[in-house]
Amino acid sequence: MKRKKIQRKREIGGATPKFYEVFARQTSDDPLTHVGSIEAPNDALAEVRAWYIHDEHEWRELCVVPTAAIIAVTERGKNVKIKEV
Amino acid sequence: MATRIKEDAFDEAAELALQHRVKAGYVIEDEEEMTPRYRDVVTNTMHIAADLEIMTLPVYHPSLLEAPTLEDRIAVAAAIQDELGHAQVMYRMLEDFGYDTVELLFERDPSEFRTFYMIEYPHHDYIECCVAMLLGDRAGYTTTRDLEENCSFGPYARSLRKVNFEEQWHVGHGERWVKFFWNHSPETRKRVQENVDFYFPMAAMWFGVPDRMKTRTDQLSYKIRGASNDEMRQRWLAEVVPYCEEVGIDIPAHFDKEKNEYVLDYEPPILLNEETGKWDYTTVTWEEKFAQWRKGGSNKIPALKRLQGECWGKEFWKEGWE
Repeated sequence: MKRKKIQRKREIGGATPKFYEVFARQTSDDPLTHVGSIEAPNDALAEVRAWYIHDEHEWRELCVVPTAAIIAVTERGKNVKIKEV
Repeated sequence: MATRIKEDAFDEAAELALQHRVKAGYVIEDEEEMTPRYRDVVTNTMHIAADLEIMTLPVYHPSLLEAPTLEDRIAVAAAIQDELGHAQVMYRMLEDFGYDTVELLFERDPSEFRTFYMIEYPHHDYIECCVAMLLGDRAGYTTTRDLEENCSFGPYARSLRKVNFEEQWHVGHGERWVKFFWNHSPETRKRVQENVDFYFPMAAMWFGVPDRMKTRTDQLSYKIRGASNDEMRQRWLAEVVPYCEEVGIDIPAHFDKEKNEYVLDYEPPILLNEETGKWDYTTVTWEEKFAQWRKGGSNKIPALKRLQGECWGKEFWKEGWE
């Protein structure tokens, strides 16, 4: 069977996938809210994917943060990013 | 790949304790809070959801090419883009559990994809696409609304806000244009009815076997979802039957006043005659039904092969689509 050649290095950017958290708000009154998480090989593609995947609203602000940059304070050592109050 | 863990490997006390916690409203946020059996059922549920989302891409694609006006093309393209986004969201969650998306999508044998019969046939044109949105997207939407409301795994429930926000547009789009084509001309009316005849029994089986046949009820015990198969089928019928009755479309289901519930006018399971594309309303055994499901619809393997084999970039434009 003919398959696409997937270059893992190009697809995921390294030996393991790199993740980004997506935050957005619809109006300047709204809190910046976690709306999802994406995988991308680099920052530029993370922007594109955030835009592509999370276009459910016309956001006033949309941004991505590398998941690795998040320092867990209440959920130390866990995968939890956002805990609802 | 998720594998079923042997029953005797479970610490029953811990499993029961978790069942009580989630039933009391506790929301799980992290893998370390899960028991092995919970992990198994939640990852299996997400895995099927991810495969269903990706399968819709090649299924809807022919109707994108056949859409009659620019507006229709934009609408179908937007729906396909939504579904791709949903697939990304689902596979992304699986990655937190050690799944490899590249492997799942591009290196897995197409027969291993866990798709449903409803989306194993191509939507050839725009009318078929709209009927599939009306019946099939609505079936999926019935499931995902229940999950968003009830799922005890927080990240999954939250991820469905976006999914459901977009699915309501697909269903609404289907409703609007099915009605339009029903009233447009005798020819389009005929096409709507033919497609409803084809898809109705498939969508009604989206929710799986009747509750009385269920042996594994982990999805409910661990509150991955809130409603049973039959309860979800009732919710779906409660939307589909009044809509079709109002428009005038014939469907093999009605509201039974004595039972106070919606009932099908046939006794499932029934089989699709794959030669004629018509349903044979003679009740068969569940073994025969499962065999048809296992075999899969005619488009399953070709569609997934295409997904895995199609070239992009310059090659994509050269190869075109057949």
